[in-house]
Formats: sequence, C-alpha cells, structure tokens
Amino acid sequence: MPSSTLVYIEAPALGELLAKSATDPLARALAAAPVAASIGAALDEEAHVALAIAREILGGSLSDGLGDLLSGGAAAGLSFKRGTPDWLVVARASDGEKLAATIERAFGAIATKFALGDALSKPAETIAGADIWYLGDKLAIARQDRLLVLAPGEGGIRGVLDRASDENNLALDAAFAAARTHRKQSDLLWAWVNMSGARAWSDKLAGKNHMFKEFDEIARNPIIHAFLGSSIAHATSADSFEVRVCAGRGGAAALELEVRADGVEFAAEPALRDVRPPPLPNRTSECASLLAYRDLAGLYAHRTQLFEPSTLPEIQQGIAGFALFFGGVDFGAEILPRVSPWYALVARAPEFAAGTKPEIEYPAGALLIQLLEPERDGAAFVSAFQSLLAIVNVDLAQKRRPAMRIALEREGETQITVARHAPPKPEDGVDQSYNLAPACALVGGTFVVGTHESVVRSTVRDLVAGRVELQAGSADRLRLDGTQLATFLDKNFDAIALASSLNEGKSIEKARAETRMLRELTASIASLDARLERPTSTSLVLHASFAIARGSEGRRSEPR
Amino acid sequence: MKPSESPTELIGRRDALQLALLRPWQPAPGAFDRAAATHLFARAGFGASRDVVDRAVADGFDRAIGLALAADESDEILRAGIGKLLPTGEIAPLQAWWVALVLHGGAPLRERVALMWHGHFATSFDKVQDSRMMHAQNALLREHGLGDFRALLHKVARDPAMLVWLDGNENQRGRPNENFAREVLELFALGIGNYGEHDVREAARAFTGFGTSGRSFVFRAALHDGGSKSVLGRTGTFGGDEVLDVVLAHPAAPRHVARVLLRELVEPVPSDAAIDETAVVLVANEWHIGRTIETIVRSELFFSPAARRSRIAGPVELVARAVRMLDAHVAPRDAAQAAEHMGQALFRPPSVKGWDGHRAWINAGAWIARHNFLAGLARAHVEKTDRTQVNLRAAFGEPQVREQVAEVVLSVLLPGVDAPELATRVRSVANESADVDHALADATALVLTSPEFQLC
Repeated sequence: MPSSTLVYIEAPALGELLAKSATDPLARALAAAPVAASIGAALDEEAHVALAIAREILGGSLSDGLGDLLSGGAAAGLSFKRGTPDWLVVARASDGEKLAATIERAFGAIATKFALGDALSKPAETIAGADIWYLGDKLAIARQDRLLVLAPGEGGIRGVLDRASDENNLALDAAFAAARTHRKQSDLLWAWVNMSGARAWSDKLAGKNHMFKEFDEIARNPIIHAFLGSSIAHATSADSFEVRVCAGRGGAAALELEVRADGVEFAAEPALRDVRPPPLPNRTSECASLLAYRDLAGLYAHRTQLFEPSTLPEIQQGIAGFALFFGGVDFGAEILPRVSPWYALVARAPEFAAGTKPEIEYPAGALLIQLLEPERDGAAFVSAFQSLLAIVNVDLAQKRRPAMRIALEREGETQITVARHAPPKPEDGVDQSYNLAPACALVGGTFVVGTHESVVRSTVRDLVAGRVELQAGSADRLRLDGTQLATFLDKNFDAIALASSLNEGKSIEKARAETRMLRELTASIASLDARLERPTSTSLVLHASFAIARGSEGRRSEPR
Repeated sequence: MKPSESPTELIGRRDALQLALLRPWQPAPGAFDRAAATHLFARAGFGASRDVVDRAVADGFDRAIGLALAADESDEILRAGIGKLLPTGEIAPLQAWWVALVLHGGAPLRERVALMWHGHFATSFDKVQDSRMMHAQNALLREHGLGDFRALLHKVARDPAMLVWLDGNENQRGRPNENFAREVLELFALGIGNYGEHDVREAARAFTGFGTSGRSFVFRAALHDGGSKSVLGRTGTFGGDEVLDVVLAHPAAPRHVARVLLRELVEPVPSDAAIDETAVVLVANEWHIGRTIETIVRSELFFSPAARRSRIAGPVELVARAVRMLDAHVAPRDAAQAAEHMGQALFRPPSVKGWDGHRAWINAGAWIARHNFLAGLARAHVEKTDRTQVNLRAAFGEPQVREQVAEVVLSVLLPGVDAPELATRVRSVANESADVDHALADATALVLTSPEFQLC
C-alpha cells in the first residue's frame, strides 16, 4: 500500500475461517445464530440471484470459494491522491490456478450480463508477470500467480507490483509499523486509521480542521465527558485508531473486538482519584450492567480548562438546579467531591404489581452512587429524591393527571422511598408511564436510585446479603445480555413495527421484517463484556467480547 | 320554507317541496368527464389517481358514485395496530395513524366525514392530554359519522374526551359550568341567533352529573340538578339526553347540520335555498348523514359550475389529494407534520370552533409550508428518498417526450380548468427541462403549488 494510505484493512485469517466454516465453532455459531435466518429471509429476489451468481463464480460454495480466495490474507487501503480518493484491494489466494479459474468465471458472468462478447477473454496487458484486465476506466484487475489486485487504474496495480522496492511504502511508515505489531496472524480483521494524516489532508483541502471540527468539539463537550466519559471524549484527538476482530479464545463461539486509540491527549484532565470501584450486584438475570469512572467533581473544578466557554453558564445552571434539591448547598464544590467517581448502573426486567404491568414494557434501571461520607450526605440524597418526586407531582397536577403516591417502606431493615402511580381501572389499560415507579434507598455508603422499585429492592437485597461481585482495576466496564434484551423487543414487537411503519413510511410487512431482524441480532449476542482501559498515558483500548447465542437459545417461541 | 317550521313539519312538506338544487344530476353523454369525476373523488374523499378517474369515467356516473362512496375494509391491520401505540400517551402516533388511513385507506368518505366532525366537535389533545381518549373519540366519529346525527350527538355528549375538553366534570348541581351546553347550542346543533343565554344556563343544568371516571363516562346522580328547566320554549326536568332531544327538535337544528354538510361538500357559503333543501332531505332520511351525503353527491348542485373548485382545500385534504392523485407514498408521520405546518394539527384544533377553514387556511407561513411539501413531493420523482416515493411516469400515463408532459400533467391535476397563463408556464418549464423525468417533476411541482390546485 502507498505511504499515503489513511485507512488500511487486512483480513489475515478470515479465509481460514470461511474454509473451515463447516467445523469451526465460531463459524457454525454465526451461521446458527438467530439473526442468520432473519437475514436469509429478508433477502429479496435480486439478492438471491446475485448470491447464486456469486456461488457459481466461486466454484459452487460461497464459503469454500471465499476461503480459497482469501486463504493467504487480504488487505484494502484508502488514500487520497491530489485531493481525490484512491483505493486498493489485494488478496492472496490458496492456488494460482484456482484463482485464474475464478477470475475467468467472473469475467464470463460480466461479459454475459453486459454483452461484452469476448472483450475480457484475454488480459489487456501483462506487467511484471501479472495479467491485467480493465473494466472501463474505473476498475483494473490484476493476477500475478495467486496474488489478486483490484485498483481504479493501472497506477494502483503498478504500485503494488513495484512496492517491495519502492520507498513510498506504508510498511516503512514508523507509526503503521508500530501499530502492526499488535496484529496477529489469527485475526479475522485488522484495521488501522491514520487520523493525523487525515487531519493534515483535511487542513490542506478545506481549511483548518474543517472535517475534524466536530471531533474537537466533542473533546470539549461537558455532556460527552459526563455520560460517555473523558476517555471517549479525548479519544477524538488520537493520532491513529486500530481495530482488531478475532475469534474467541479456546474455540469458544465468540468474537473479540479491540479498538485502540494511540497518541491521545489526556492533558488538562483532573488526576485519577484513588478510589476503589464499588461492588456490583451479582445476578444472572441482568439485562445490562455498567461500571463507569466519572469524576464529576474534578470535571467541575477544571471546567474552565476542559470545556468551551459557551457551555460554562449552562453547567452553572445545572449545578444550581441540583443545589435546589440539596438545600441550597453548593452542589459542585461541596457535594460532588464527597461522591465517588465510580458509578454503577444495572438494568433488569421489572416486576410489576397486579394491574400495573404496562402494555409497553421497558427494562428498569438502578444507579448506584458511592457516598464517601454517607453519615453526612446519605439523608440529603434521600431528601433530594423526595423533593424531586414532589416537583414531578406538581407537573402531573398541571397536566390534570393524578399524583404519584409517595411512601416510606422497608426492604428488610433498609428504608426505601417509593413513588407509585395509582393503579388504573382495568378497562382503562396500563400506559407506558407505569414503567416508572421510582424508588431510592441507602445501603451503607451506597445510594441506590432506580426507575422502578422492584429493581431498587432487589439491588438492596443483593447489597445487604453480600451477593456482589468485587471490581478490580480501573476500567469502565459494560455487560449486556442480548437474549434478555431481546425479550423486550418480543414484548413490544407490534408497537415497534407499527411505529417504524408510521414514522418512516414502510409497509407493515417490511417494518415487521426489520424489527424481527433487530430482535434476532440482539438475541444472537448471548453476552457482551466490554472494558475501556488506558494502558499508557497516551493510549486508550476498548476490548469487547461477544459470545454468540446458539440458535435455539435466542429463537422466539412463536414465529411472527 | 318557513324558518319556524319544525323538522316534523318539514317532513310533512317533503312531498310538496320539489327538490330543485338537490335533484339528481342526469349527465348528458360525455358530461361525466374527467373533470366531473375528479371533482367527485376530491369532494367525496380525498381525490383519486389517473387510473381510477379514467376507470370511473368509462364505467359511467352511477358506478362512479358507488365507487366514491364505497368502503374497503382491507386496512384492518392499521386499525388493529394503533392500540399498541396508545400506551405511549403521545399524540404523534395517533396523528400519523389517521393520516395513513386518509392517504391510503379504503374508506375515504368515512375518513373525510370523520375529519369534518373532528373540526365540528372540536376537541384538543392539548387539554385532554390522553391519547386513548382522543382515539376513542376518533373511533366514535369514524364509526357513527355517517349514521344518524342525533345518535352521534348523544354519543358525543357522553364522550370522555369531550367532557374533559369542555369541563364536564366541573358541571355540578348548584355550580353549573356552561361550556358544553353553550357549544351544543352555538356550534354543534343550532348556531348563533337560535337560542338565548337563558337557554345556555338551563341546558347546562340539564348536563350536570355528566362526567368521567378514569377514561370512562360516568353519570353522578348526586351532582345532577334534577329540577325543572326551561330550554328553547320547552319545560321539564330534563337530563342531558332529554335536552339534546329538545335541541334537535328545534327547526334550526337540521339547517345547522345541513350547512355543515354543504360547506364541506359543496361550497363555503351555501345558499339558504340549498340549506333548506338539504335540511328537508336530512330529516326525511331520519337524520342519516350517509344517505343525505349521497343525495348531495348525486345532485345537480354538487356538479354545478359554482360548486366546482369553490373551496380552498384544508391542509390534510390538500396533502391527501396530492398523494392520492399522484399515487405516491409518503411517510404518514411526514404527511401529518406537513399538514400541521400548514395550519392543521390533527387532534389539536386551535379552539372549540375547530378550524375556520377556507380563506383562513392561507397566510404567508401556511403558503410556504404548502409550497415546500407539494414541491418536495413532485421532486421526489428525481431526488429519490426512502420516505417519499412517487413515480410520475406511471402517474401521468408514461409520457414519452417532454412536449407531452405539460398536457398530461394539467389534464390529470387540473382537468377542465381554464388557466392559460399557468398552462404557458408549465409548457415552458417542461420544454426547458433536461429530460422527461425532470420535465415531469418540474411541471408537477409548478401545478401542485399553483393557486389553482389549492382549490378543489
């Protein structure tokens, strides 16, 4: 690839996976995953015809044919030459003769479709032992033994064939070479994006940071820092990104994904606080859980250095709003520093009291906040929650809706504040607002506040009983259970499909098919476990592991 | 006809009164042409495509009437599904769902009449704040809108959304709230000048106790004023239902309803003669709206030159007519929002009077909104989007060259309309376009956004 390549993608072991698809655990799991059947069913006639042609070109079997084609690896690159995009695709097949036969079949199909006669029966020219064909002025195809090269024109082909002796070679780029040391031969995909190169190109073409202006704004956006975290906010300053996809370890039916950002500027951030992450409730019935480091006190204290000046008044307004609930105390300077920078969020299926199960059901969430001085601040947090409920009731009254009933109850020995809508009359139906029965409780130093009392109560029970999982390290961590989440898509299937149809103008049938595919895709993920870490002072790594659900696990019990 | 005649007396005179304006139209050969058929479908529904209009002309007047008034129930899937979105509590899904039925449903007359009653018995989500109740009212209007108006009025009086809208729960013995009673007399059934303030106060007493419990109607006897009331010259211990019967027995009542029907179907300011005749027909048909509409739609009055293109189309009507005439497909949510930008947000009329309509539809902002939607619809032929699909070649019978475009577009969208200046501009635009497709898009945009197309 030329040294000007900005995006490089390689598939070292993809061919091997495809060739062994009949026996490889991951390949079999992907083929049997719930979403695979949905994709097949969603293909229209045109797509089926195209697949049949592809099968024929590849020698009768898509997986075997592609496996042969990519067995020695494949790579693609995107660069910009004098302001226009340029690209290149290279693949090393298992066998030169098989590759020649595949090319011949492909050209036969193209010639038939476009009535080209025998225009492609012979190569247009031969350079350095490679046969080259041209399809118009947009595509050049070259074969040199088992090497296949696709490029927009002869220049790209020559570039590959001459590259070994050419100093204008991406392989000689220091940053690329350093990044490529992370690539493994067993990777299904490895990609590298030269962000600093892209910025330089963008500057040259369209003024200072034209394309990346939004990226820079992300890095100074307080909302991004608060919700996605400072790590992600600053990742936009990275010099390069790498993406690795590989099969799970030990033959598991799993995919591993790693996204790495290098050359990230974390300067001006508040120093990491030495506080241990809280324990997370240890449950198998969780839809999702998140452990996140958000030093809101530090962000607030350093706001003038971190954020755009235009956002400062809004930040102050938000802080003043919180002060209203905490008796006028300076929330940013006094309360936040006494709150741990670690937050945990859990989501589960709620349990509804009789007559209050809503017709549109959502997972319920609970936020766990560690108070560093619970004796001092615990009561204030509970009072703040109760004040918030009072304001919600004022709003409901203005809309002529009945108020939520607030009660102080007990879950074991723990006091819990809960607010509930009055049960509706049976003939009136149960609106989605009944997903909300907010509650809070204080368990030791942990303030638990949730959207539904059932998840707060179960979290309280887990914390009190010590049914928790201790967290180590300094990584943000996200876990999802796709099969659990898919049950909510099942429950709300008709509503989702109809909303899609009405909002986007699709037919009901198409909306249902797409909703079904989303459901199967979600159900195909038995579990997702993702961690975000900073291995060095200038790099960030997101590591995610996807376990693929077996087909029978994720399947709906009744077809729709 | 005497203004003081009661509906019963009107029936008695029916045989003596020869229907003049509403006598059935018997078109001479060739008189039921594209222009007449287009007018029929535009007024009895929301317009029709070129194919449907051509087929109607070929089938003849009687069969065309039957087609225009027919109801195809095959859109059950839409009707069945909206219940799944009502629990969101939001009005946007309900707006989009109804627009979907207006745009593509198989019962355009039913939707047209429901829309008419929605403006007549105006009730707004902005106060009711309950999408299930708004849907229930909509279902009532759609189910009973073509039936007996008397039954419809009685049902509306017990409709929970209406009761919330007009403060029925606050109307109690000793503290009557006059809102609903006033609107029954002024807007729903009689009209200004046919009642006095005393009648409003007394009628309000009759409606005391009508209220809601949750989303249901409830009659609270303890809150009802059971005393004697004097309404419109009649005295009795009327309850809500009885006072409605008193109102409907007033001679002005059938004329008031007749005026509503004629404004919707014939002309914005109907003549007294037309109103009188329609009132007689209404009463003779036992207040049946559907049969009365059929009489109107078959009449010489309906097809008279004065009636054609005499109304400024309301936003929902305009959006639907453009979509149906082009056999296009627009995301219902987008269509509902377009109508809202033009000044008509379904389920959110601006006041108890509903929408004023006719010239009130046109102001600077509304005009821009009309232009943007209609031009965008036409341009979707060449600027493909997922949310709006239109094939103008099919809509206009596959013109082969640019020079054919102006004629086919005008003949389909404005059949029988004499507009030489517009025609000149359309021809010029079409002939200067790059190709047939752009000619179609440009010509269609020009016609749709013309003042002529706003009239129907």
